[in-house]
Amino acid sequence: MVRRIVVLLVILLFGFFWGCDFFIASSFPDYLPSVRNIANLDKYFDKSNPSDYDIFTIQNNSGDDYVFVLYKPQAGMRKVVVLDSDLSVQSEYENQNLGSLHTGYPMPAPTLAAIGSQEMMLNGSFTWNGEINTNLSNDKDHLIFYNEIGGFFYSLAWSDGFLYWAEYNNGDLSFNNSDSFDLDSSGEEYSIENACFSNNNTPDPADDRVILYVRRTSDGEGFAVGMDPNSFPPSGVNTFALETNPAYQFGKIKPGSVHIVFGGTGVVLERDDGTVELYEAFYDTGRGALYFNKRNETIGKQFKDRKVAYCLDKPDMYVFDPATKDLFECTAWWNDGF
Amino acid sequence: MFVTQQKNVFICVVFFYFISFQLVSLNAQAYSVVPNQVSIFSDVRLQSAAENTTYRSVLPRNTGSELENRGYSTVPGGELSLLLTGQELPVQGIPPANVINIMKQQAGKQMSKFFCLVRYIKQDNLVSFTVFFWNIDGGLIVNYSAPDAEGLAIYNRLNAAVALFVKKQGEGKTITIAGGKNGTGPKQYVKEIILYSKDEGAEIWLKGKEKLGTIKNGQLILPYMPLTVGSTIEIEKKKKGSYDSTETLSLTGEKSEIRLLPMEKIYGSGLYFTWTTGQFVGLGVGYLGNVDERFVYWGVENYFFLQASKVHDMHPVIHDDIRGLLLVKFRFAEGFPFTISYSYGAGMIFSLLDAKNAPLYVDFYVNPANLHLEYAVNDYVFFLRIEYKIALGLGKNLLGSDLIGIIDGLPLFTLGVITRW
Repeated sequence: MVRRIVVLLVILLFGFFWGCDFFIASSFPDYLPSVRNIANLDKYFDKSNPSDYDIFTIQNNSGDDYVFVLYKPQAGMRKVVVLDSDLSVQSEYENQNLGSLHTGYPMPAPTLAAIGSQEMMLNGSFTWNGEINTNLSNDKDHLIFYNEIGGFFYSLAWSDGFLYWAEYNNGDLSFNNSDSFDLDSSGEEYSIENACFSNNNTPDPADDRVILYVRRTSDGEGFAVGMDPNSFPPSGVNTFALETNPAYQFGKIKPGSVHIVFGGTGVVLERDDGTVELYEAFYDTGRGALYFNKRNETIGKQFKDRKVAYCLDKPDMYVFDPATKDLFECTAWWNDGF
Repeated sequence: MFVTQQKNVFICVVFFYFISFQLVSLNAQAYSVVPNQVSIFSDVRLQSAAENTTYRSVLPRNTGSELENRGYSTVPGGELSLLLTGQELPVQGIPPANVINIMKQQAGKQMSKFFCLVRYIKQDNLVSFTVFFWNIDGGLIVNYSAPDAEGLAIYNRLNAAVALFVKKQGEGKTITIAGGKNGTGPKQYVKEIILYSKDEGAEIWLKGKEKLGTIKNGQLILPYMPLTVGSTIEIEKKKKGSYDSTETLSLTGEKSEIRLLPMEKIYGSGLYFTWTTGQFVGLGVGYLGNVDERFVYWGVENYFFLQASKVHDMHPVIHDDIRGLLLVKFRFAEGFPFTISYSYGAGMIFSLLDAKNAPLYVDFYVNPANLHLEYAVNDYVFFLRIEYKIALGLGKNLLGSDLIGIIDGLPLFTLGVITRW
């Protein structure tokens, strides 16, 4: 009798755990089976200096992906190492004002990016131009965004309660104009997380919007605001973008966790609880509203303290392990082969 | 002449005083008895040396217990055959006077007020059980005979005989009872206890006291003990290669047949197979060896597994986990099929990725605690193990320094089966 009960219990337990993915979850990071290439960057960083790392991706106008690994030591100069999609190191650059890489899409030639406040041109080779614009604070992270409708590059940075922008001419990247606007009327601070067109491939001035992803500093709420590309970026201290444009509220997100994917028609973000979610984003012209459909999610803890960046229009991702300095090129977690 | 007479008188006086002294000594000896002390003699002649040994020990002891329960003190007088060197003693009837005199002298030396003889004889189909009580002066008090009594039934007769002695010893009468019947005492005694066990060769001990016997041919008939029906005894089982265990036996009838719980074997070695959560496509194999012939085992274990994922174009990662363990078993109550074990150890996991430029990753870890819940069926043990493994983050590794578990901090669970010998 006891034996039968034990056997029954084992079967029930087995069935229960089988049903809740308990068995197939691994103690190793889930991305390992999807790794295609590995590069070790040990020799590029000072191991003796306690440091933090970040990782970003960018795609140039030829569709080539580049990976940026940013080294942020507690003391000493910051450094970025740039690798191509084969994980061959292309460039290194040191500057104390290196910060997050925020570059909107699409990107015409010459490709311009900012990492922190440092401007970088990417047109066959790397050119580091130093400070982007002295009109904007150099200790802030800048977002470089090319408004294809207007034909200008913009550098955007949040400072003192306003979103400042500087406009550059396409071609010689000469400075053209600068101004600022606000996101809401309450005086809240925001961080600018990312930006793209709602349809990256063929942005239509009538049907598409510039989607600006921001995070409210006080409570971590994430927002997407869809702005008219014909009048982007807006001007004036009383222009409250979140209140005057279609917007979508995601809930609490982690800072620096918004990644543009699917050529701008998708976004990956990490919530405060560690869930990493993939959304399909689109702008409904008829209703004048932004829509986000969640297509997949995974557990962010699988990445532990590793840094993750996603490719713009390929279901690929890069994972950097700060402990071993290994950089993994992988298929993205949502690319379900079954 | 006068001198000669004086000399003779002196010799007579000395002789007189010598004789007087001896008489006084004898008188003093005759009156120096311990009140209510009984010297107990036995005359056991059974059909095997083993039986003789058992009953020559048990009968005087139980007679003593019966008397002591009634306020008497006792001293062992000895086996009669050892006192009667070269003398033949009839198997039936009251012993001859010279035999009684030998017992009387022995009892006198022991300063007993009474002496008794318990005779249990089986010879040539003749069975005889008799009990005699005498005063120290040789006066017979009780002549109790139970010719039909045999085996454990004799103990009820013994109880009856002692009861008669107690009743009659003060009256100076000789009581002769032939064909004594059972149940005359105030208590109902267990006549026979038979233990059945599959543990052939197991020694059965009265806990903390003495060995009662050995399981042979699957059973053991316990020597008689003055145990009443409804009482319990605690026995201890000992067998080389098994864990010592105790068991409390309830004696529910005059004849108690009790099936003992099987003893848990101490296995010297074991080969086991495991399957662990978080290591889905894989199988572990391990070996356990006993360290102390009791509870401690050492072990080595290897778990090979593949890590897959649902992503498109995935390449399974090959992992191999090798570790060493020290295991301690904790047993529950006798007969309970479950056992708890605790183990700890250390190991390493090798990982090989099917990717360009992939090195061989090695995650070293310590394994401070594994808790095993085990269920034994014959030579097999099925177990569930909760594992706490902590990766050390040394060298070229994939897990960092962290608890090795499933996402959300769940530790690893292992199901396994051990085949042991």
